[in-house]
Amino acid sequence: MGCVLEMKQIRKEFSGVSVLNGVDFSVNEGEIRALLGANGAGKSTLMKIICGVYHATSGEIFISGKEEEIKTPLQAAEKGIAIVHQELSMIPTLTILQNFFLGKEIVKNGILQEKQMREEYFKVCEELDFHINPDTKTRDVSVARQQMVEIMKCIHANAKIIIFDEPTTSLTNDEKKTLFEVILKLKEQGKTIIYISHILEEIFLLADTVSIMRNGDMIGTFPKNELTIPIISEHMSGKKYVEGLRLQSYVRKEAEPVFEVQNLSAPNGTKDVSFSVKPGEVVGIAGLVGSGRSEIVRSIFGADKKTSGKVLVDGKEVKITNPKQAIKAGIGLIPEDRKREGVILKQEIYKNATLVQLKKMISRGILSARKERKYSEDAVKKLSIKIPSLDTPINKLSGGNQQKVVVSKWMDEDMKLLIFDEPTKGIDVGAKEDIFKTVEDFAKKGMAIIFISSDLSEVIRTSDRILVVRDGQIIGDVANDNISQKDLMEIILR
Amino acid sequence: MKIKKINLRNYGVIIGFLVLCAIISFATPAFLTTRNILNLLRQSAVVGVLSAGMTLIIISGNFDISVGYICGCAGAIAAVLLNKGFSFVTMFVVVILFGALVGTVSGFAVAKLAIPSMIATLGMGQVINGALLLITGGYPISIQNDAMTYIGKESFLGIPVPIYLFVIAIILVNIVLRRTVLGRHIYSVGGNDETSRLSGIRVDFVKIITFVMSSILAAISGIILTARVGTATATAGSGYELDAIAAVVIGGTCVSGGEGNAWKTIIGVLFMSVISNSFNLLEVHVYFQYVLKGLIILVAVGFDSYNRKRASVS
Repeated sequence: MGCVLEMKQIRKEFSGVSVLNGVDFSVNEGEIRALLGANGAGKSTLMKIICGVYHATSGEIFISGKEEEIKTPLQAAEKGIAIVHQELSMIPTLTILQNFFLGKEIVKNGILQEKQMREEYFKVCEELDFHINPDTKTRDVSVARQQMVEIMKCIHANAKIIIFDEPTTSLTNDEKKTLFEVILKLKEQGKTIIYISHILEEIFLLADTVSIMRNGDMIGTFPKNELTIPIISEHMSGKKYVEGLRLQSYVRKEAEPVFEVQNLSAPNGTKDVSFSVKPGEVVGIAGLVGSGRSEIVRSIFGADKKTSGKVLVDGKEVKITNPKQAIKAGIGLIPEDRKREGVILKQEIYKNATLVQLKKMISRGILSARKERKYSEDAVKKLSIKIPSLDTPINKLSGGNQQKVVVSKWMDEDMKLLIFDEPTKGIDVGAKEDIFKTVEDFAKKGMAIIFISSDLSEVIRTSDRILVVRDGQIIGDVANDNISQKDLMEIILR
Repeated sequence: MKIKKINLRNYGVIIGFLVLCAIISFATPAFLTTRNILNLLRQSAVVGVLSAGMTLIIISGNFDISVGYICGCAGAIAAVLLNKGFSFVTMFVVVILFGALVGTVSGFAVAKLAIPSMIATLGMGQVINGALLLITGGYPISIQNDAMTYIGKESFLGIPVPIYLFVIAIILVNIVLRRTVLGRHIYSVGGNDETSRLSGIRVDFVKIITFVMSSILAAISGIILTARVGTATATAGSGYELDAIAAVVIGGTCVSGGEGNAWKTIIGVLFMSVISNSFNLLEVHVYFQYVLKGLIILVAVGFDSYNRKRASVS
């Protein structure tokens, strides 16, 4: 097996700041290579250089032994490099077939060759043993199936090297299984796979070898069987690995619930949900993707409509039909989709941080720059957010630091209940630990917490009690006395 | 390592403006005279007040293409009321209420019915245009009123009165944008309305109130226009919305919303006025003026957008 891709001494600088410090990276034909690293380690930059999105400041790229220059994504595609993006890049209003041939339509004398395109499409379907009606509108197709179409596009483009950038973030377990089968099939066909993911289980399942990056350096490439989670974590963070401990519990058992929801139903699929949370208690919500976890909390928060049910704060019923009322009642939400719902990308860090607290930033009728700075500086310190300055637009920060700014919106003494909806999605290990620490701090102050995560180990680490959700309903309410992931999974799947 | 590069985007418009002025002063000695400059500023006041409001609208992520008609119609309402013997104050209150009403309807259509603002205000503009024609019957209405003469023709401390109104409008808009919670909410809604909603901001209210403020400013600009010309006509104000949008965008406010600044709108307004003024001084044929003006807008905005695009790609 020859070396299909070799990158030598790749450097990349952005306005004088080095993000790749001379990285060597090579992959053999027919190999599944996992690429690991914390946010900001340089994985994405390296991949973007391979794909012609960025241009390396210096360094050489060899493809199948021949030195090549990749200046544009088109050139990368011609050389057999394809990427399946984390965020899908299909146009929702076109059909699957139209998306499949987007930019590569088969044309004769200016006329689209519909029949020929169909034939080619079905050929690829056959090859992967995956069938989807080419005339369906893309927006009517699940994310997982859209992803398959993206993979089919890579095959159709005759890609030798296929890069997967965190492909499982929005897939259910079944869909993940299908995806893994397809990836293994691609390997059998002699394709080379570069697989980027934060989820170590997936990497142990799929990869032959693992490359680990840290702070713009390639730490090394290791055969899978030489690695364990502690070793990987050490390489990624540069620190000794400590087994993730259960957070300290601060639940005030004798206290009355600070928050209670009774018989909540909503058009988003939430069905007759009732539960309560005590001061200092962390209630985890576990369930598969699509089970309705987010929908339940969105209805509580007034982000989605309710049809019936009561919400009580401090034993008194509160009317919540929009987020403003929820916030007034002392309920905060760190939403699932950070970019779309959590931050305002164009705005400065401090403006994002104070967005919910503006009423408290007023002095003599106008916004006080001093108060805003003080609030954001305190938040930055407390959450150890790494920022160049408070005036930096938030889109310049890594995902983990952006998420901490979202959390900082709620650093308010009057908050009663804070809901974390997938707060650790796409953020690195260090930032995750900081988020957990924040959860602990909030609980210590007596705030009630709801914590949602697709990663069961996180729910187990953080929660005093775990609610299991399926089809918008609570099907289990388990006290967390050292429950194992396996047991919890059994309840979820039962 | 700290790099302080002079950001062309921040100064490009000002440099362009100065270069334009320099070229014109060379081309015609009539440009750089006190009389011409004051005249130019007086002319810029109407579009200036409109642009102050347009800055709010564009930052909130919308457009309002009915403001030219609001300006014309408000001017006609002013003329009719004054001619019927109502006092200036009564007229002023009615005109403000007219602006507020129009803004509420447009804002409601955009925020609650979710009609794209271009389309909503396109429709609204036609409604108001019709109203204007009904009020004037298509004929000019001339006015005789001391207060209006003062606003339109007099100077205070050597500077024409409309200029003060323009500056006051910009200062007010700037205070709202920079110093108040509402202003921050306008930026936030323009930047990302879903994040804003989940942060407890009344997004619909913010959208409506920006339309109300902008329409009130447009109505006031109508009073200034009628005062300056001494007559309300059926075509008054038409096309001003495009000048206002151009001024705001040349001033560097981002058309996709969430960014921008009222001070820079002043430069945009002056830019547009200097162009019109110099064409008149250089006796460029009026039809040809449209062609040139359009091209200048494309170049100025294109320069800015291209810089932005380049900055975001690499």
